[in-house]
Amino acid sequence: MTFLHISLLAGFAAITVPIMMHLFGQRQPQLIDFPTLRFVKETRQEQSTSWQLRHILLLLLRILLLAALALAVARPRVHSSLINSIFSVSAVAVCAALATVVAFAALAGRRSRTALLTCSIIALGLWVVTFVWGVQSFSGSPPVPTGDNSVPVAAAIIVDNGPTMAYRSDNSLRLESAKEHATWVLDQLPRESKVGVLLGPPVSSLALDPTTAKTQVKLLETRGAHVDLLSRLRTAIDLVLKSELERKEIYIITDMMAPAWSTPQPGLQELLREHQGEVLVQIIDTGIQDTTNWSLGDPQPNFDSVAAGGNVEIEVLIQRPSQTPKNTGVTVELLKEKIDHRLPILRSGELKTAPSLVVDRKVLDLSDKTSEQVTLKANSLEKGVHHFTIRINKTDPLAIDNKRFLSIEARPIQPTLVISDDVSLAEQILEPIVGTFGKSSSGAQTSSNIRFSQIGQTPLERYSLLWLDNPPPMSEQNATKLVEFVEQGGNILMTLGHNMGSVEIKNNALAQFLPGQLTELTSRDRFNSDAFLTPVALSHPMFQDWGDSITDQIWNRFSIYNNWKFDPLSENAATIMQYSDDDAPAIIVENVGKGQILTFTTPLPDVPQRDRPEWNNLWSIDNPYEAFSLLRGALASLYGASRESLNHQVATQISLRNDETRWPSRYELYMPNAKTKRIEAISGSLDLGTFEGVGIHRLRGLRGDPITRGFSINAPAADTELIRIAPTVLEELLGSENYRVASNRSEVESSVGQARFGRELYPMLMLLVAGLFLAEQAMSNLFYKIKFR
Amino acid sequence: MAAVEQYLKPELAAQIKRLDLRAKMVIRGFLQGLHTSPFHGFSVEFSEHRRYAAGDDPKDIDWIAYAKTGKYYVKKFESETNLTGYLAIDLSRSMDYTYQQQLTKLDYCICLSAALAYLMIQQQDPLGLVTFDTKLGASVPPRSRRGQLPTILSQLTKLKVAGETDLAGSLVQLAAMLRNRSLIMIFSDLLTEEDPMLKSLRNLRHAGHDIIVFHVLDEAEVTFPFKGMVQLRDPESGASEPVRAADAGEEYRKTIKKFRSRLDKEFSESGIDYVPLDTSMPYDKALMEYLLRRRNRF
Repeated sequence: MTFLHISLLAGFAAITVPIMMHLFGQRQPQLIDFPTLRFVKETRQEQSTSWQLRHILLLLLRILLLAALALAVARPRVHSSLINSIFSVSAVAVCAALATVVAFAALAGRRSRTALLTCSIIALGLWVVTFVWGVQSFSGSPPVPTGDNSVPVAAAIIVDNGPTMAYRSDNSLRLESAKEHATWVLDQLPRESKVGVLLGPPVSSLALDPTTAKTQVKLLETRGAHVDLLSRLRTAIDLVLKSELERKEIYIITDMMAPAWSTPQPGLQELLREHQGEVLVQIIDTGIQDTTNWSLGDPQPNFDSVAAGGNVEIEVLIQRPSQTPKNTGVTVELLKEKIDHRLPILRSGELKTAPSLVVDRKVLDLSDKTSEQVTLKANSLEKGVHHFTIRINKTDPLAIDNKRFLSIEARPIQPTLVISDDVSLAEQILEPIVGTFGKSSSGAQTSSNIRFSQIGQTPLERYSLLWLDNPPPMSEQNATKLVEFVEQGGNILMTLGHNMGSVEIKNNALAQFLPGQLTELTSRDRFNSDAFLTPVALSHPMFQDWGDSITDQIWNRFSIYNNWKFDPLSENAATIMQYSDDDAPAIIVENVGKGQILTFTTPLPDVPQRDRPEWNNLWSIDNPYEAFSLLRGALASLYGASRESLNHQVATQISLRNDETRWPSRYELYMPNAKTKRIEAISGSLDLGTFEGVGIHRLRGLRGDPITRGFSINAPAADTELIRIAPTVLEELLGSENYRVASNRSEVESSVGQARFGRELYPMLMLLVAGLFLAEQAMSNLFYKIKFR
Repeated sequence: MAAVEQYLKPELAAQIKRLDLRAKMVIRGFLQGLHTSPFHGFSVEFSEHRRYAAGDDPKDIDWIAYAKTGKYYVKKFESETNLTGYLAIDLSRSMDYTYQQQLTKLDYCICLSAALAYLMIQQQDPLGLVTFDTKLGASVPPRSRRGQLPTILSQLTKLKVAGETDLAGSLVQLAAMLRNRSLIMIFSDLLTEEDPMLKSLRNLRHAGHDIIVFHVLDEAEVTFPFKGMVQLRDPESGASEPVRAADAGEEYRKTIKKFRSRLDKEFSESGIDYVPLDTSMPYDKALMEYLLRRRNRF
């Protein structure tokens, strides 16, 4: 506790006045003869006791009155975090005072000893609680902040620039309002303050001065996905705590939409509580309660890519404002951009793209429901990447969710030839696996199977991929044919097994397309094998089905008993997976000419048979999902097709496969905001990074002729829903006493002022003075007329 | 009539210095007031006759009545109609007290005694006077002759307060002194120990005497008119107490009321007349009590 006028505490000396008056100032009573004095004496005892008690009570009231007055004029301030404790302690003190009065009344009124004792114990107990709680609160409270407004501040500014900040109200975007608030807050900070503006990219320290920070705030634009405010708050706390400046303040300027607070930070509340007195967390609410918005949900195409000439169906949810609008009719349109490899280009700073045509349109009436799912169709897609825009014919304050974007690739058909001496295996397992790709493109993936002996009679150029299952030694002619097939751009998936016989096969023509020097056939004890597959090239497209979880797979469930070992590998070969016991390559990819050979050094699928031992148990479990996925991944990576989606959400990492046999290695990326960026393919992939803006992103490169590709980025529909976070949820996340919320400047001034300078107790004390004054008056006048009995 | 009743007020009587005149004024006021009272027609001058009966002394025959009526009537002997009265006045120090009235309790008692004496002597009732404090003091033996009034009035004017009260002891002495059944009119504030006093009075009553207790208190002793903080002192014992009047007043009044109620009850049970008075009250109440007592007796 600090005092504005500490010298006025000398006013406490005034309490001596009533004490002196009580002790010495009492008038000598008039002496009167009274023969019937003995009748007076009979009631004298209790009268005297109650009178004395009341006199003491009056004296106490007067002392308290003067003390409260002296305290009030000294203008005490406490840290604002203490104010609740003060209210609570005051409440207990009032109860204690009441209990004391009752105890006095019981004493004066000669109530039963039990009543007197009970009242006294309660009063004493309450006073003890008041004292202990008061001392504890004051001793444990943070120091009252200095009242000096010129002390520099360590300030972190977090401006929510999520998609809903593009909501327009009062002819201004929420983001603009947020920027104004941020600028105003920065204007209030002393020049020497250290500021950090947390806009997304990592900030390592509070290095900006307020003026520079303002410039940074002005450049802020809305993004397509919600901002993780809790994570930014965590960072902000770390930053301000690192600062040596005494005053530490964090400002979060947001429209209070729920998604921004949806990722709880473990330990955040405890951290806030720990530094509650030290760090001010001020939330400035720029949102409004009543909003109106038409929205499109996340578009869901039935295929991420289709074969050339195929069709695509896109489902999308249309939602109307919760309060029924006057016009409940809405038109949804699907626009397809024409493929023109000469576009886009930048002309006079503007992006010129190919024209878009409406290919489907739906008219809905949402008078009796708030949302409806519609399916839009685009038919006969020619080869190439198609960009779609879905839009509704509504104008509302939030425009970002009135359009959604979609990119779908229509790929040429890629026939596959399965070559296996086990016809039943080829027909029942291998071809169906290949067939799964046929399902993803409505243009039907064609496949067929032959025996190895039939290679010579088969025109391989009709196929783009050959699957050599458990190849046996082969003739020079056949081997040469296969090598030529690869060199000319074909791809081969090869699963090596027992048909190769022994290491001596290295002298066979088959060795021409083996991925390295065959050294041995590694055999392990079937009952004591500790070898299993371990991924090495984690980013290889064959692991695409698993995504980041490839390392989470429990590969040691599958034992490998036999495998072929290559050492060294060919120059153009790389290991994708290896064996855990000797780090020998298990899956090898080798570029040969324009084609690629992907080799499994242990057979897959290795269907258990009676006449020979298993080489591995990858396929022999009930649900060989991992083995199936490995084969699918291998095929997908060789197709160069994969199930790569061209549709992403804001702020997700985007990487596109780039088959150098088909695609250029360099591109110009044209972003929707007419900015461009040069992209170069590395190891067959285009690492594009993350994007904040929504829309169609177009890639244009040259491989002889211009080639265009592209992808779309959308704001997640969940992030554009205008749902405010409930105050109780915010309290659960941050702790009710650890932050302040204000919605306009005066509230911010008041809130921040209280936090910076503490809370004045003057009004409360004056209230107490008034109460004591009334009590004193009642006691000295009216109270004497009231009998205790 | 209202002017006549003024004479019964103590404050007016106090303006008359001579006790005989004061007594005369009181009685006249009282008697004139009676004409409008329910006792209209009752005359203290009435002399009673009865028919002559065998055994009566023939010299008592009223020949004038015989001449008028032709029947023998005898005049009743004076001694049969007369009532021997004693005025017993408390001379304790507490009697010499008044707070705001012009008459002290003793003055009030003397004035009232004088009035009664005047009335009784006029009726030819023999009247005596005794005083007491801790013991019986001055006494005037009962006589009914005209000269008795000046004697009693003279004695009354000389009365001075003495010391503490021992009403019980004094009454015992008085009982020993009386031979005939008498009407004993006690004027006191009764600020003495209650039980012995009650016992003595009961004894006196059992001895066949009629007793009227005029319990005279100062008006302040009944109303407790003080304000603020006062130091009250007992003039007899000298003991004092600081008292906050606002606190003590109500309780005190209740206590006094209770004290009087108890006396009333006790006296009533013993056949003793009790007349609670204070120095602000007119005398007619006391006089009326006396007359009622006298009428009930015959």
